[in-house]
Amino acid sequence: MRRRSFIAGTAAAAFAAPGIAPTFAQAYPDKPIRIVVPNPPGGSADYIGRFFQTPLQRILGQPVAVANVVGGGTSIGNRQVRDAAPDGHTVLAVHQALLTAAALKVMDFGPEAFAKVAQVAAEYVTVVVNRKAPYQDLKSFLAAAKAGDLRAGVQIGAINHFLFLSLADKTGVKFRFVNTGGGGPTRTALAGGHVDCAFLTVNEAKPLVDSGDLTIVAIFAPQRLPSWPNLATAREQGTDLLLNLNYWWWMPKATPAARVDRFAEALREAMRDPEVVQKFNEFNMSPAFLKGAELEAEINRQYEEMKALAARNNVTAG
Amino acid sequence: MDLVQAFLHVLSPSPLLLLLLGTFMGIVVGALPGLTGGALLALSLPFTYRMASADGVILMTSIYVGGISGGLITATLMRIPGEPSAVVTTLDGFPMARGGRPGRALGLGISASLIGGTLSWLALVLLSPWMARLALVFGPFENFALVFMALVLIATLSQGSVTKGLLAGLFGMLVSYPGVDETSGQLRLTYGFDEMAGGFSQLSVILGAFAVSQVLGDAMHARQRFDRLDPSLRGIFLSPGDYIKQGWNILRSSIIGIWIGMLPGVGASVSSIVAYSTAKNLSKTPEKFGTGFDDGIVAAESANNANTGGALIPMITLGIPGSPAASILLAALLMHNIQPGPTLFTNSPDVVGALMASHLLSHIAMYGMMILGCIWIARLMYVPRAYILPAIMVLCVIGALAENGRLFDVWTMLAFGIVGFLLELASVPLGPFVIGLILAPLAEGQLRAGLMATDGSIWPLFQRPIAVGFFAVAIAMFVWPLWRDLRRQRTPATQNG
Repeated sequence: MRRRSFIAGTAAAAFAAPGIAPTFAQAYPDKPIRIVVPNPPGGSADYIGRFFQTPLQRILGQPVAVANVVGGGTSIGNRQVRDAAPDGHTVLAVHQALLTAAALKVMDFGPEAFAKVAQVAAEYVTVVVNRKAPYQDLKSFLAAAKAGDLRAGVQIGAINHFLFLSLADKTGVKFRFVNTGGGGPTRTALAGGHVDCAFLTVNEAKPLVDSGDLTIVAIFAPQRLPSWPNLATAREQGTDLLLNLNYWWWMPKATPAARVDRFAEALREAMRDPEVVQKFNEFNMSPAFLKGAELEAEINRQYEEMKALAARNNVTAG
Repeated sequence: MDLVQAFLHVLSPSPLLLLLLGTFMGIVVGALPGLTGGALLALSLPFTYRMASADGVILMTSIYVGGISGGLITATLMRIPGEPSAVVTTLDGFPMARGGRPGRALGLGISASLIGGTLSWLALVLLSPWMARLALVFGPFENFALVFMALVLIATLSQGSVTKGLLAGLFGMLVSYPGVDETSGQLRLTYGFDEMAGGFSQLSVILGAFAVSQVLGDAMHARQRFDRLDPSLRGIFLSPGDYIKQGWNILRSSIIGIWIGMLPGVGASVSSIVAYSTAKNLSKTPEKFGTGFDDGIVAAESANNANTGGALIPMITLGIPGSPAASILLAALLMHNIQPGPTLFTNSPDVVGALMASHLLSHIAMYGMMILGCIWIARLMYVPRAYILPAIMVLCVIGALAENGRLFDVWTMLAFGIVGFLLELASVPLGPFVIGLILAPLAEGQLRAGLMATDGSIWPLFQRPIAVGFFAVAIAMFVWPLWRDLRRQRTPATQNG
């Protein structure tokens, strides 16, 4: 009995070697899966990791653990996954932070160093201003931004900085950037009048919109949110621009294609899980599944755009 | 009204069990060097995801409180802080315990923790609702001035040589610089090493400088046995006279703890250092500090527990955690899509109530457990150090590794263990080092954010009344001890002459 299982184990190990593995895809996963989130707990990349943890465990039949590996503007966690064994048991849950870090050359590698598994969601972002400001819609906001230099609360080099660069690029206005950090501190600085505008997710903005401190001037989504129908889109206010966070799952570059695909299909299935559906609704995230060449092309498009933005606005590290 | 209901909810069987469990586990990891309450909070985060949000909050709050409190045990009995926040408790707790009064030393620490925590609970309940409004007035310059006030203490905190204290403070600042420069998003001082992109983890540096260096120091005297100690726990309950005598010290230290607690990202360790040095500066007998003096233990322990209530105020009102541990609590709330802010009190009164009720109740549970447990805990002092030191080393390595799962953090910890050991040998104080390490990034970030908003002009900083007020206090805190020492040096001279 014992000997037989030993032989079976050796056989599995032998065939699990890269190159041979694809024909034995059903053996995957054969040990616990580690999801690396390169951000601290409580950020949106972290939510995604945790929303999917239980459904993935059920679908893949192996324990799934979420680990926050923080530091270096996500580069520490990204590097850990890039250098992990390419056997499909280490997965990176990431959003555009990886692209901005690479575009700024904080990391010496970019999306090309990974196998892209799937995209699961898009979260549309909003421009938010103080309720006391004279501009309360996108048109008058952009007019004000054109006239003077509005202070934009961002985390320099992070995605909320690049969102402003995209908006500035599209509309020809300029902002004065103030480093206020992530969503929490930035919305506080905005409510206190220490900055004039910020990019926030719907959920980050909501408490201070409800309390009468802030106004959302536009959401950069293709259509209005069902959960918040009187929130006007940028498109209907004359600025045809879509801006969102995308949630991606990546693996080490050399991971066998069959395993990448198995995991992608597991994610697709997990997206139908009632709990995940409910969490997406609650957090105003839109399901947006992509995999394979389509995903690769979308990521490359965004990456090239960010590199161009960084170069044009002189935010590239030397 | 809501709060009464919240208390009743927390006292019902299953939440109460969570609270007792959380407090107990918190005390245990808090007492163990290397393992911190923060690490346990991070580990328990996934469990709270599937709990009702109020229950998750109860568990995490009680771990937080237990962890901060447990640190005093090993700090007092072994001179090894179980938590970074108990660093200054070693200064007076250990000499007193070693001088034959371990019961009294623990009793002072535990009681001060309870009172400091309770005072911060009052602040949490009474101030939170309008703190959110008040805090909005604070822009980058005000925050910078607030941090600057604490940073000035580097100079006054140095036991012995002011020069050595300033050097230690500057060294702490230097250690905080490598990694991603938050204000420009770019790497600095990494010397091309990829691993340095994350900088030195504050936890690893503090673990190294205080726990590992102490293990190294103790290992050199491992054979040395303690003199027969008084094994009784006489003095574990304080007399009413003690409370009256320490009243002002407890109140002042708690207010300091609450203030530092509200500063974003500054943990309880800075609170207790600031409260201790303030108590020493204002004392009529500053020379008694460091020799096993009541006031030193009380100041340190009331401040670090007061930090917990303070750190929760901006967390629930603004979504800005006041300490690293509070940021994990915040993550637990966010994962339930409970967004902190002025509307939290109306949108999720059950969560706010659970947080407030469990903050107070876990302090009471902590007091009961620690007083009862002291009988066994105090025996730790009799276990030969040769058995304990390797275990502590192992725990430190696990603690450093657990934070981010990186071996680099372990190497950082070991390196700073040697650095801390050498600094001790050169009698360079480590308090200013920690202050520099933790506060410099905050001061830098706030000042540079302010300068970005004013397009590089520093003058608006001096046109803001709140900021100017803080600077005035900072200057007073800097000048007062120097002036006092000067006067004291002069008085005996005139008497002699």
